[in-house]
Amino acid sequence: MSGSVLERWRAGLAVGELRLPRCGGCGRLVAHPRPRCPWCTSAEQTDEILSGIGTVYSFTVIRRAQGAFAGTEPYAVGYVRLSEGPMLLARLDALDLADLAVDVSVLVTPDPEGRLTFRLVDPSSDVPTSSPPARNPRS
Amino acid sequence: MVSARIAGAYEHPLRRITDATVPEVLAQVAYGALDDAGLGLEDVDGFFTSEVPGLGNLGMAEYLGLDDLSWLDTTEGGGASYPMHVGHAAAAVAAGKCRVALVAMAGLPLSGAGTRGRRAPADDYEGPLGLTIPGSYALAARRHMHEFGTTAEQLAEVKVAAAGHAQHNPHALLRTPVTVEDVVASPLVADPLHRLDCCVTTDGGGALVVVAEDVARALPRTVKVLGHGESLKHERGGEVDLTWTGAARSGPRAFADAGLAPADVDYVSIYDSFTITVLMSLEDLGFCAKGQGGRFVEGGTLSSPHGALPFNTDGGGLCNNHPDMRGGMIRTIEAVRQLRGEAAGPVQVRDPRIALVQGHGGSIGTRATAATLLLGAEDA
Repeated sequence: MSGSVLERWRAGLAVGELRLPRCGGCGRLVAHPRPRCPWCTSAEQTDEILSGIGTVYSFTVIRRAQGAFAGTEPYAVGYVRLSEGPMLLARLDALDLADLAVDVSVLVTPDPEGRLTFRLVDPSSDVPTSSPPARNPRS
Repeated sequence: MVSARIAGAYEHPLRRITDATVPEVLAQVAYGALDDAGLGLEDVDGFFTSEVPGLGNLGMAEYLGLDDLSWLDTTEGGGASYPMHVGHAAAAVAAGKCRVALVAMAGLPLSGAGTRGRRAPADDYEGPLGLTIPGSYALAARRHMHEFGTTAEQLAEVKVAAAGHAQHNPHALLRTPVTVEDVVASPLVADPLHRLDCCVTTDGGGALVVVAEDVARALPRTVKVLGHGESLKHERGGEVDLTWTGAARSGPRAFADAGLAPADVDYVSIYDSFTITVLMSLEDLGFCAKGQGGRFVEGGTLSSPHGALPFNTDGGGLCNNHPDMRGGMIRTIEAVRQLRGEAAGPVQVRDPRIALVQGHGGSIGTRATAATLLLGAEDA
């Protein structure tokens, strides 16, 4: 039931929770979710809420967008290496997009549209931690 | 045909499916047939489908976990597709192009979920992010710059060479020579790629005729197909590595097929959707070491006829033509022109014997197919 998998994914992201299935066969995270593990083909999976901590592997600032995204530029998209291992494509938020760089630390942030969105870690208010961060550290 | 056998078969048990997507059903029957054959996903090196979600069968290969395939076939013959695929698979197996071919199909017409279109399974997750095609190539460019110190000026060298060639092609869309400064001063489309790092978008098309050896003997201007290699590269379940393209897989296969090495090549037609595509392809094909592409293209290496490795002498997709946003046909045609000695006079390579064509489909920043051809002149 990929519809419900996708709905859970989006609902989680809307409140800043990143979920991925962990394979019961080989123990790897299944990214993106799908009914069978692409590494070992096991169908045994349990959903896991991840830390939401990662680093930027590569990114781009889109300055000319198409279709539904036209007129919303500039915005940044990039690959984030999750602290749990896999890399996922995501929106990258920053007050100033010029602050984005390869290797900077990022945190999952709630996205009302259910997109996977990370924001730059703010060293002044984000306490480095290996456990899931507070959902909204500024409030 | 006698050199191949059907080892596994599986028919989905349901006739109305309301709780699964087309990719899910296709995965179910694929695994079912492999189980029936007593084989695993890791045994599969050939993948045959008609039109399925995603570009060709690239998106489905990623979804299933099929990785280093050596044969991709998406022949679309409607209801006849699958016996066609079996025939093609038998031919591919007989030719040594693959050993275990998976032929799979699925559709959900009762629920209105068609199989058509380019939406890959991963688009459920990535589509809402708004990553454009230039943006996805920009991801590869950014990482290349980070890892190897490649500069915007080095990427620009690729466009400068293509534009230098296009001025001699009366049909090229863009015929004005440009400088490195022009490229880096053009507006950013998706950092770090500028407008002049991007190919043109054109209508049009092209065609080729491939014939048997005995037919060729009676024809005056034929070009030999000496070698072929193909593969794909995708996000591998989150193990992304943007430092190489599928050419690192397809290229060595084509060279081995032809019994040739990069040093034998006199002319290259390299897929130039963006400047970074060329630079990384040159590394992956072995024309220079990994990470050295930027340095390699400096100083007119790609310019014809005096550069060490003349490329895209029609102006390529960067300046001449990129019809339907698919450049592989036109790149191949220019390689044929070179080997026949029919390229534009000022950019004709002197007596070229071996040409290489590199194609990519999709995006090297996310998921892409790759194909390499080695072509030879009459006397090659």
